[in-house]
Amino acid sequence: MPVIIDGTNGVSTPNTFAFKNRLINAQLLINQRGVSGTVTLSAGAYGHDRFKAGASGCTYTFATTNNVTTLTISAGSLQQVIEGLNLESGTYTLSWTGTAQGKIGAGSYGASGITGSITGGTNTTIEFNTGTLSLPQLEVGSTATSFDYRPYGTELALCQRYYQQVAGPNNYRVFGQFYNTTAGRVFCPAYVPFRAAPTITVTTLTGQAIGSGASTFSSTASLILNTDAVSFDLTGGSPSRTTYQTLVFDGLLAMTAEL
Amino acid sequence: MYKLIKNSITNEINVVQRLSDNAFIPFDPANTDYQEYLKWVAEGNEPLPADEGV
Repeated sequence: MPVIIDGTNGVSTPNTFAFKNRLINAQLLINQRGVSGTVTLSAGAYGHDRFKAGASGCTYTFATTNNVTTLTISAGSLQQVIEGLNLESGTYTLSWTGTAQGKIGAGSYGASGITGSITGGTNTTIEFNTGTLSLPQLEVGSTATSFDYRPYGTELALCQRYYQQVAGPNNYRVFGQFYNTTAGRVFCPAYVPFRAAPTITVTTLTGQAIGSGASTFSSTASLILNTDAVSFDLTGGSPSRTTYQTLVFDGLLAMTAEL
Repeated sequence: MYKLIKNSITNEINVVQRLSDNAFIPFDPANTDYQEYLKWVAEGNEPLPADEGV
C-alpha cells in the first residue's frame, strides 16, 4: 500500500480507505432539488443534497469543473448534519479546498485541517462560513488525507436516505388507479429506505389517465407515509374518468427525511 | 399553523399538514418536521381539526 508524505497533502494514501469521508455528497455533484444560479436559502433550507443553510441563512453560487463543484458562499453559512449512526467517538479532522472557514460541532471556525472531538452516535453538524469551498472531508484522526472520491450512483443512494424527488410528466414511479370517476390513489416506492418516515410535498396536482389523457385534481388526501413507500389520494379530478383506470401522477413529489 | 389530516382508509389521524408550504408530516418521532410540530404544540398552540368525513 503506497503511503505518500509531502508538503502539499501531508500524509496520503491515494485510492485507499474508501468511505473514510463521513460527509455525504462532498463532491457536491448531487443536486436533486435542482438549485441553480445564485442560491438563496432561508435558515435550515436545503440546497445541494445534504447541505442546508445555517441559522442566518445562506447565499451561494457554484460551478462544476472536471467533476468538482466549488461553492462561493457570499452570505451566511452552510451546514451538513451527519447522522449519529455514521459516527464513532474520537478525534476527527475537517479539511477542504477554498477560503471558507469551517467548524465541527460547537467548535470554533478555522482554516482547513481543523480537528474536533465527536461523540459516537450523536448527530453532529459541520459548518462553513463565507468564502470558496470544495471537496470537504471529515475523517477519523488528526491528519487530513486525500479526498475520498466515491461513485456517483453510490453517493446518490446515500443522499436518497434523506431526500428523494419525483417530477413528471409521465413518471411511472408514482402510479395507481382511479377508485371512482374523480379520485385515484397512487403509490411511490422509495429507491432506498428513508431515514425516517418522510415529509412530503405534492406540487401540481395533475395526472394521466392512461388511454384517456390528462386529469387535474383539486386536493390530496389519505396519505400513508412510511420509510419504504408513500401513498396518497388525488381527489376532485376533472374531467371524469372510468373507475379502475390506471393513473400516473404527473406533478412534483418531494419526500424529505433530512436532519 | 398546522392542520390534522385523517386517513380515510384507516380512519386514523397520523399526518399533520404544515399550512405554510402544504407539506404533509407523518407522526414519526424521528422526523425533524414532526419534532418541530411537537415543539409548536408544547408552546401552547393547537392545530386545526381534521375535516370530518374525509
